[in-house]
Amino acid sequence: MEITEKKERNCTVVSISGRLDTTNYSVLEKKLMELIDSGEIRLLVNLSGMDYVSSSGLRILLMALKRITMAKGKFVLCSLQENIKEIFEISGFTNIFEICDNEEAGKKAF
Amino acid sequence: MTRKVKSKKNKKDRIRFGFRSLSFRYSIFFILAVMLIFLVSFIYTLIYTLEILAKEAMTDTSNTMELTIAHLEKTFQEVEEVPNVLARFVNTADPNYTEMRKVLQGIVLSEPYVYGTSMAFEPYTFQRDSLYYALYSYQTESGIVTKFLGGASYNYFDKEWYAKAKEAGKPIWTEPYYDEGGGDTLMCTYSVPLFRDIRGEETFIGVITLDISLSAIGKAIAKLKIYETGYAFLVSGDGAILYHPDSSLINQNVFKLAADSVNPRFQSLAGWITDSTEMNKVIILGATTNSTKVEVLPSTGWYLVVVFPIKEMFSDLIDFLKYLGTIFLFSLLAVFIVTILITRRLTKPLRNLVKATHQIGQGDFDLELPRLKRRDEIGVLSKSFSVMLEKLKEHIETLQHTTAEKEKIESELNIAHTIQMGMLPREFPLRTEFELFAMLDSAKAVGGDLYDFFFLDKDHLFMSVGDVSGKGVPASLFMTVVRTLFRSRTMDGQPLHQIMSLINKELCKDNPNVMFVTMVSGIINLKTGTIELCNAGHNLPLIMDREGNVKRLSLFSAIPLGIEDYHGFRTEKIQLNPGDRLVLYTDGITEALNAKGDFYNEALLSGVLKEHHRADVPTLVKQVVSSIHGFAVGVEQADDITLLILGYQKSSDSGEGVIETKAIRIPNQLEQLHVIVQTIEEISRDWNISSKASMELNLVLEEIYTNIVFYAFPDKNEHMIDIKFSLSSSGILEVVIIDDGKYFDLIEASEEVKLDAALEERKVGGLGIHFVKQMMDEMSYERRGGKNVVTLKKHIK
Amino acid sequence: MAYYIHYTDPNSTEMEEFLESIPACPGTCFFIDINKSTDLKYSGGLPEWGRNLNNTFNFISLLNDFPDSIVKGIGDEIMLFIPDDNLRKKKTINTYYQLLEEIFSTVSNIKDFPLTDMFLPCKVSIHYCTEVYNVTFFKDTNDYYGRDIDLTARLMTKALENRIVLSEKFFVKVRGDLVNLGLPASYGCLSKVSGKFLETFRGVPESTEYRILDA
Repeated sequence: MEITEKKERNCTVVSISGRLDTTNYSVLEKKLMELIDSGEIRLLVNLSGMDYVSSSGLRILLMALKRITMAKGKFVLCSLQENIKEIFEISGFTNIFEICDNEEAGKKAF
Repeated sequence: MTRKVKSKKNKKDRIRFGFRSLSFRYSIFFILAVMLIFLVSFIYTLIYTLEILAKEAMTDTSNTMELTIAHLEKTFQEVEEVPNVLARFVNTADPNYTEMRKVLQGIVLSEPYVYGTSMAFEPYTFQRDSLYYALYSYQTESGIVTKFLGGASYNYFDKEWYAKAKEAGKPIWTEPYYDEGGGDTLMCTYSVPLFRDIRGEETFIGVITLDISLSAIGKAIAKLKIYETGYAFLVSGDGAILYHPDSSLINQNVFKLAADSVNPRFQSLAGWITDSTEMNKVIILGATTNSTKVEVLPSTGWYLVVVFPIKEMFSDLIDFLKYLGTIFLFSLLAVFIVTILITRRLTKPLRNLVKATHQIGQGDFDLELPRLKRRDEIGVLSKSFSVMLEKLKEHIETLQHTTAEKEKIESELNIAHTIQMGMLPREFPLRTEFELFAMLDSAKAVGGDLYDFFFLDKDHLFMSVGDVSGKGVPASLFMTVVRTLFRSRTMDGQPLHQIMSLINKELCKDNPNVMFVTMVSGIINLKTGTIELCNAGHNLPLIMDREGNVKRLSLFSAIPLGIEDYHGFRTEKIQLNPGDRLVLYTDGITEALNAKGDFYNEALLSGVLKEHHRADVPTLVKQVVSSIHGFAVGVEQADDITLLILGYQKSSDSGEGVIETKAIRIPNQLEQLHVIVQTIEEISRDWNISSKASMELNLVLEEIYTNIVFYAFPDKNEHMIDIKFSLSSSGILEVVIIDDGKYFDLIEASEEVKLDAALEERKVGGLGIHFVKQMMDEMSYERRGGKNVVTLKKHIK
Repeated sequence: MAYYIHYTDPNSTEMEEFLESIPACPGTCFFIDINKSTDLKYSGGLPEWGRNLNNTFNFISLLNDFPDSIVKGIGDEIMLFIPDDNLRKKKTINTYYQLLEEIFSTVSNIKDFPLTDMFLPCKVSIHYCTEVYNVTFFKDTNDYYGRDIDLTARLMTKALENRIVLSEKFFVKVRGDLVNLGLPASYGCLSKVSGKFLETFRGVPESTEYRILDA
């Protein structure tokens, strides 16, 4: 898994690529919590490169969403691959996450 | 070097045979290098000196030669001047005999080299009437004599000195000859033709001669002293030796000598010497090892040859070199010694290190290395060596450790141990009606002990303790077979002796190693406390009542299992009373030896059991095992020690029939309180406990549990708290809470509580415990076997 | 595939021999129970009950990287069994530790899900089984039987809403994985695992050690 972040005008874009599972979820957890703790509560997470996510991965995204919502920030996901989108649908995550088709649309959401 | 000698003597020091100390090696290299440098400069100096010396010698010789030649030339020029004077005298004065004789005699007298002089005229020219007219003055012993030459016997017109001069028309030198008629000595003649102007025409009228005595010239040449044996000689233009120190060679011809020489080098030269260089080569004839120098005397065309001996020429030099060489050798020796001393001094710490490494090599790792304060490479080396030694020590220790570990793992014994231990049940049941605990302490050379227990159903527990004959892997494998057979065959609900018979039969069937196992097995009915026991040649079990009285069960002892097909096993029934402990063990306990050679016998075992009879079963087992270790301290354990104790509880005090039991063990983590809550819910539901009683129980247990978690364990480690629930047929709920924390009497603590005391004065836990007492019908505290035991009772029906 | 046991003669020696020959099939057994779902059925009506169950099972199926691991579902309880052989073959979740982490995440996700009417809370029991056999008595079905399966079901009595009860035997396996992965003993969700409990469950004469993990 690879995580990159870049600061945009109105949000911070975090791109996650590869597999997100039990072997590495703690890396993402640490990264997102660091960002949120440092006040980056406007996060756009680009999942275009993510090809697998396990429950432990979803847990981190859920945690991040809760933390950001509590801090009155905004957490948006974008560019989900088909199979990931399916997982999100099955798990009901589409109900609670704001999901955009691509990064441009994601940026406009802020 | 002494080192080497020593090492030869010392067999143990073989390693040093052929050892070259660093200083020795270093000195050798140094000396070789110095020698080389010396040698090169020496040779260079030698060559250079030789060159200079040779040059100098040559120059000296040349100078001497030049002087000699000049001297000779002067003489010759004087000699040559004489005829001119005579010619003028003859032509102008027209002298008579007397005058002529006077002049000639005067010449001989005044000229030292001139042996004789003559004037010879053409026929009829000086004396018109005489064919011959020649006057000759020469030296004799008696003085200068003048005589007339010419006549029939001496026709001077044909003589070389006359004819050649006449023919040549100019002065000539004749070859040396012995003048028989004249001086009787080897001489050369200088002949000058005499001319007169007769009617305007230069007309030959006669010859004037001067005879030069070669012995006189030889004397001059002999003066040329060249070192000790060097010499000079004179050769005429035609090769005749005019003078030579070796008089036998005089008047010999060098070319002839060369031609006669056996040396081909000279032979080839004989015919054609054209210049002085070639001459040079020829003249070497007489002195092949010498160097020669040849100069031509210009007036006569003679050659002056100087032979100088190189050996002598360089003799001084050679002396000097000998002297130099000696000094050189001595200084080399001195340098060698000094080098050895210096390097030995320099390498002393190194040698100490070498000594140290040698000792280390023999295994002395605790050696103190010499401490060096030096800041040079040797100091650094010594330091790194110390570090290396430390690392080495560490490494070896680790290696020994890991090797030992590895060996242990790989050893058969360990495999046996693993098999043996892997098969023993470790989870001891947590029940209210009984306590069971067992320990197997295996000896280094694994014996074949085993224990086992398992439930046949909810109320029947099978247990066994056995000892397989033999040790190691075969014993442990046999043990596995025994255990598996018991586990599979006892399920059928048959009486114990039948099971034993059956298993015995199976063990005998396929037992190539003829192994056998002594064993006591038993099946306890947990409801009634009745236990069936069957003994196959094993130690008889002990039974201890609640007062600590120990007695041995007198069971029938059948033969061990696996020996032969046998049907005499007996099942014997024993009734256990609440509080009774059944002790099964192996002979590893009673046959444990102490340092004196005494056995840890049954009496000692009984004593320890009695001493700790109030402790719970696990504590009791541990106490016995540790007492054995204490007894046998310093003696290696020879056999496995196996001890299994079953404590039959039933309903403790009341003795009434228990209808329901529940036991839980929970860790000392406050957040796990809910498990108690959950359990109470569970038993309340299952045992029909009223919700009020259930809630009270909840409160009470929460209070006690919280107290224990907070105060019992100052060490902060994980501890286990046992809670046992039982319901008797008379409707009394008993709850026993056991923890292994520090001594804390809840009841005592609660008694000090005054309800009206200010909140802050109340003792920790006090108030809560007060409520506990209020809610429960009975409450007791006991410190038992290092544990706090709180017993609560409540009538719930 | 499961050993299909179908003998018409109950005393046949063939049957006995066949039964004797069946090997144990060690693996991990899960019971996932939807807490109080039946109560809900009557309070909120069938549509809501069905919807919630659907959502929850969907969610749970996410961790189901093992297509045939769901052995059976009885109402609102499902049983999963993952034989060791299958677990080792997986690329995604192939350690006991990962299994635990995933199930923990699932329970956490359900618990923490912002929309309260989406899922029903779960409780889970996990046990590592050695005494278990892959046998079935009905044609073309898959099933597992054995004392350890029973024990897993018994462990569920210690579970509550959002709680995972894991047997010590399974916990030891998880610990072993952490050692093999070079991770600290309290890595990930293991930091939340409780101390050791001991209890003797009904129908299981031996006492069982277990631990608790709350989401």
